[in-house]
Amino acid sequence: MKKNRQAGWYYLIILLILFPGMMQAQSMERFLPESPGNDYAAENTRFYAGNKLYEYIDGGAELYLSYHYRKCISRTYVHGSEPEIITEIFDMANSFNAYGVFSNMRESENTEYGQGCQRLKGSVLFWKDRYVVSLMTPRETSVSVETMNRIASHIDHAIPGSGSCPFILNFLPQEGLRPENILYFTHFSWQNAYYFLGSDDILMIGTKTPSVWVRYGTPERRIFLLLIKYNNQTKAKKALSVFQSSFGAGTDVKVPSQLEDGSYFSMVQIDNFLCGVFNASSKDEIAAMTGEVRKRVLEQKH
Amino acid sequence: MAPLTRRELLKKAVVLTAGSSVYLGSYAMPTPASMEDKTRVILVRDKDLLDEKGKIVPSVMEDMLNRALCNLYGVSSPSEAWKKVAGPSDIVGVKSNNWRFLPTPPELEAVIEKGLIQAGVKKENISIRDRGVLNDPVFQKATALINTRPMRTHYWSGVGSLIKNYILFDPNPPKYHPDTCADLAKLWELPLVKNKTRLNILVMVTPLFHGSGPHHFNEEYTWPYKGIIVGTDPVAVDSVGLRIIQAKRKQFFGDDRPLNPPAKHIYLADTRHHLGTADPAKIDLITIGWAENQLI
Repeated sequence: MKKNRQAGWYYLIILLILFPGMMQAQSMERFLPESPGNDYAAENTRFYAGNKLYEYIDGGAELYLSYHYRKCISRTYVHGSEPEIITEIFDMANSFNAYGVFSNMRESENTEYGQGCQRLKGSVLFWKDRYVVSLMTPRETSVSVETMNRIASHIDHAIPGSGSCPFILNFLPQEGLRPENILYFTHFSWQNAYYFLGSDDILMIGTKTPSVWVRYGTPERRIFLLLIKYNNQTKAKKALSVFQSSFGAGTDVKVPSQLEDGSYFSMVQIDNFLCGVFNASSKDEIAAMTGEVRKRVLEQKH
Repeated sequence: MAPLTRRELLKKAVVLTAGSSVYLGSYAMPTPASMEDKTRVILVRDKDLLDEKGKIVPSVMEDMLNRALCNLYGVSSPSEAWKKVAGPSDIVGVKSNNWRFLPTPPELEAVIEKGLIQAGVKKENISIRDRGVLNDPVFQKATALINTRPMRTHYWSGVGSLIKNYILFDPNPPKYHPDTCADLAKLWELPLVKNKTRLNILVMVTPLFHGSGPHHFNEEYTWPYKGIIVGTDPVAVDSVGLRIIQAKRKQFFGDDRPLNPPAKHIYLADTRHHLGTADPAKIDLITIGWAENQLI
């Protein structure tokens, strides 16, 4: 008996050494209901950490890796005659990353669950604290949707507390700002999310620089803001220089400049930030947007 | 390698030589070039492809593919057309895609197999699969490949394309992920693949034009386009499919909504890797059948 107990501890220690992420992922099991009701039952619970996520969602894993995800739990709920419900919880290490992944995926936002939620046909997506939660039923029926809602509510209540939004959002002009038009990221792969700038890391964002894209205006007439917060002014200055030479515009990107399609853009340094405004219809529009960001940066810094 | 930037694309669009418009929304509109040196791409649609339950009607799919092949090769009968694809001495791997939410339709796979057999290819010399191609004896000995998959948006490469469909011919797919899959065209240099592809069929039956959630799928972001795009140049076929996806995004969202990330691997397959042409001005697009909401 004593030997068996000892062996159990050895196995646990070996597992913790070999698969620390996996063990942590198992800890998220406490957020998931065993029996959500309506005769659905839990089946096939899986855990992923690090690059193992490729085995589950192939190249889609890169999205989560680019936001520094830690681990994931996936559980499928099955029913004799109703469609399955696939549930996933991603631990994104902190609330900024969780908000970021959510902002990258959602097109609309409501407050149904967590700190921000999107509901589409057969799916619910929300974030809370450092977690991103996804529920999906491939075919909507009244029973599958009702059960999906129960699971979402259970998880929402089971995750304690809440997390902060990224600090960089405080510097955004508030007029015309809509939650679904914000995309927060730290990896250069998303530098083209709202507006194509270029391939490669032409703004020295790397993988850990807080950055945000915002869509202002109406679908018929968009203006895009890109704000990037570097560690210090020296890095911001260097990034501006790299952008100027890569973007092929020379030094004229320091001031509002006209692109070949007739739109105006600018990229300027404000303290340790770079602030880009794109697709503007006039220099005045650029000046107003940049001025508002400058005012907010300086107010909050001093 | 110098980065590809918006300014460069705009400048090229101004001189009307590059197919950059799909990356820039409606900002750049290339004009047609002469008919010489154009690569032929066939878009076939049929409004009766799906039955009332949304299932593919096999006979309609067969008719669509046969019409596409006859137009692609300029012949009058399907049997003549299939003989242009393969013959009795060929060993043919059909690279499909079995992504659970939007796979290559089995009805299309069946039509391809029927056509190959009709052209004289022995049944045992045909294999249709997605995963496991590296260990499949037919694919290992293949003299010809047929590449087919549905087009869908993708979190890392912009779209799941015909170019990308060969990623499982490499034992280490993530090695093609840097810079959001910019250099996927390198796959086409792999020994199992190089110079073997006879036909590319991009499935546009219910394409996915936007993603949501970890699986990047929601039925709300698919629509019954009821088409297939066929050609010998994978870059040209992907380029046509991409323009339709972009047009649908604009129609659905109401504004120019670029893919996130952009599907630059299609453009770079042309400009950097010279696998084919992505430039609409160099594509001879022939459209057949149902024209309503064609989006191109």
